[in-house]
Amino acid sequence: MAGRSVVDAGAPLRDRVAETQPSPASVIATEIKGLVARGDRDQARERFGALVAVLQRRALRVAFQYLRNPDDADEAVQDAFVKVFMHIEQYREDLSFDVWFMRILVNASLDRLKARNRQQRFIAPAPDDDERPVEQVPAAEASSERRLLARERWEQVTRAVANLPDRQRLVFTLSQVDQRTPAEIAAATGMSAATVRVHLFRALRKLRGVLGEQA
Amino acid sequence: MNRREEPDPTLADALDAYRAAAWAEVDAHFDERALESQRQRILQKVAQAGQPARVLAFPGTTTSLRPAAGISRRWISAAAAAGLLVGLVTGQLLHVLPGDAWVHRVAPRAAQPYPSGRLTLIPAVATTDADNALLDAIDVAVTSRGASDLRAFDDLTFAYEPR
Repeated sequence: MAGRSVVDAGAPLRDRVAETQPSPASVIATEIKGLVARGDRDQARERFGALVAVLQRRALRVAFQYLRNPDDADEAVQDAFVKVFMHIEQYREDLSFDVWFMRILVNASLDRLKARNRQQRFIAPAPDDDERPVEQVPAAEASSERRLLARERWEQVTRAVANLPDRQRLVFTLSQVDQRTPAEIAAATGMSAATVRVHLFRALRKLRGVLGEQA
Repeated sequence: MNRREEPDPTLADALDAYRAAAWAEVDAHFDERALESQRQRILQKVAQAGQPARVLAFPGTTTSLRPAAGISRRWISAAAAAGLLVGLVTGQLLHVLPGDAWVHRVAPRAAQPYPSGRLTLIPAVATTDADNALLDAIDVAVTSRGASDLRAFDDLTFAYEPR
């Protein structure tokens, strides 16, 4: 995320992201943009609640993976949504709103991460909470053996992901947690699709190495 | 690189487990009530975003004290100005009033017996004739012979002039 063009999706994105059918979020966003353009901000705010409801949980998943703190993730998601509403006139209907929003969310998370790092220079670091509750392992893992195995994998991958360089971690998070395609990640982060693939390849290679060592 | 192109089953399993656990972790932190609360806060911020910024009083107690402080300061200034004016007018009046009136007013406080035994004590409450009589008496005393006899001694002594 070299540039700070938070809300300007940029012209090349049209070539990167090819959408055949607009997502539900894109439809609502287009509607909100029209309401704002007509000056009906009350109705726009009302519709914005529906837009938040559609994207909220996914946004929290991405922000939390990046910030590893529920309060920070909460704030980052709020900042991103408020920024979206304030700049909704700049949204281009021919692009995916999800990608545009993801770009804003990533920047909001990075901003909060920087702010937190600035604060922590003057505060003693809190002890790492490596012990994650077993309840966080998916409920599908029924047997205790599988739960243990899943937890072990979780801890291995989490540690490995945390040690990835920033760009690789960003690409990996968007790819694996938010399940974005390289083209969408490229549009959201401003990187080229080839760069995204390289970062993702390197991230997976490191993770494979970590898992191979511990297997 | 696409997830579906991933050939390594171990890594794919690990990534699937990672994703599922990551989602579960976030869902554990943000239940439906937390999501609704967050949504309301976002809409609140959005509603406030278009409004002009409020000016907050700082702090609350100072606001109530400030007028009182202003009033007292004004009163002090007015009292000082009035005092100055009264002083100036009084000073001017003292110069404008005739001398008799001034003497009449200040005489009772000046009614002290003169320490010298030679001079006749004159009552402090004196009229103009009494003042003239006093001045005549002084003149006579200064020009009298006894006084001229003493002048030689006076010349021998160190001249002392009070400041």
